Amino acid sequence: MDNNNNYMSVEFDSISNNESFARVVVAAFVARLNPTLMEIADIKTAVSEAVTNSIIHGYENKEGRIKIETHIVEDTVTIIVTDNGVGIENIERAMEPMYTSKPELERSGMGFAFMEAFMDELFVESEMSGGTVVTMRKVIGKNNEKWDEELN
Amino acid sequence: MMKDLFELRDEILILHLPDELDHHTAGEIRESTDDLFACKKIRDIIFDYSSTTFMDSSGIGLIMGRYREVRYLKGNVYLVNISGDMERILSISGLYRVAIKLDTIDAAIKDVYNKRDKRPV
Ligand SMILES: Nc1ncnc2c1ncn2[C@@H]1O[C@H](COP(=O)(O)OP(=O)(O)OP(=O)(O)O)[C@@H](O)[C@H]1O
Ligand SMILES: [Mg+2]
Repeated sequence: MDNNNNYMSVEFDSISNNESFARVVVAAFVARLNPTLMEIADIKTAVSEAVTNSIIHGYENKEGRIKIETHIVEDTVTIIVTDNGVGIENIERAMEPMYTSKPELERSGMGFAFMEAFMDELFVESEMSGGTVVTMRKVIGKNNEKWDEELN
Repeated sequence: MMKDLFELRDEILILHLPDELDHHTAGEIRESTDDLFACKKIRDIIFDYSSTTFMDSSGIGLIMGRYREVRYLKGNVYLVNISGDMERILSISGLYRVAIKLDTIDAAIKDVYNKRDKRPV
């Protein structure tokens, strides 16, 4: 089997205590692509945003399960975060920076904006009362040449 | 973990942020600060990032929320000891439009006193 193709999936309860576990497990899996520290930080932030959204919005802090699948194909990592929560009524509006449906919980509406800023691609699919699937993609190592030049 | 998180002097709250500031830890900090705000007068807040290596939008929400509280008393929010990683997310977040970034806790305290001298109590 090709060393550079790899798949991993984890599923866990929707509790805030699992947020750090989620981002660390994805970061550890991606580590074999030799990402830079900045790339790892980007992935951790994006995973944290998606998982936090499932907990707060998808399951509204009630019981539920969150699944993260991670595919590595060559130098590209694809992360899919799935919940079976309430779903998003208007995805376009939800993805606007500063839009939040929960200002009373001190949310600032930056989650999707950070996922977009730190990953190369972001897709959101959702169904009311069905759940939400967030797919994020990032090419690892595309800035490494530039880095090497800067260091030399 | 929550021990020695806060210092309060002269109505300045100094908050030493944890290693990772996410929804989980931000919730704990919010509970503790709510208790403090309920019993003490706080006019300015200094968020100390010296131990912090991770922050997401929950951290932005925590700081925005505390900013709204001190604005009632015309106080300020300071962010100090910002590392490169934190700088990236903070600058994208737009927080610098409301919070004052300075190098150290001492610099922030100095700025608090300068500003207080210039406004009636
Ligand atoms: N998994 C989800 N299930 C249901 N609704 C969601 C989900 N993810 C996001 N949303 C909706 O999209 C909105 C925008 O999400 P985004 O992460 O950008 O901001 P936020 O979570 O409200 O605030 P922040 O991320 O800054 O704390 C949310 O307020 C919520 O209404
Ligand atoms: Mg969010």
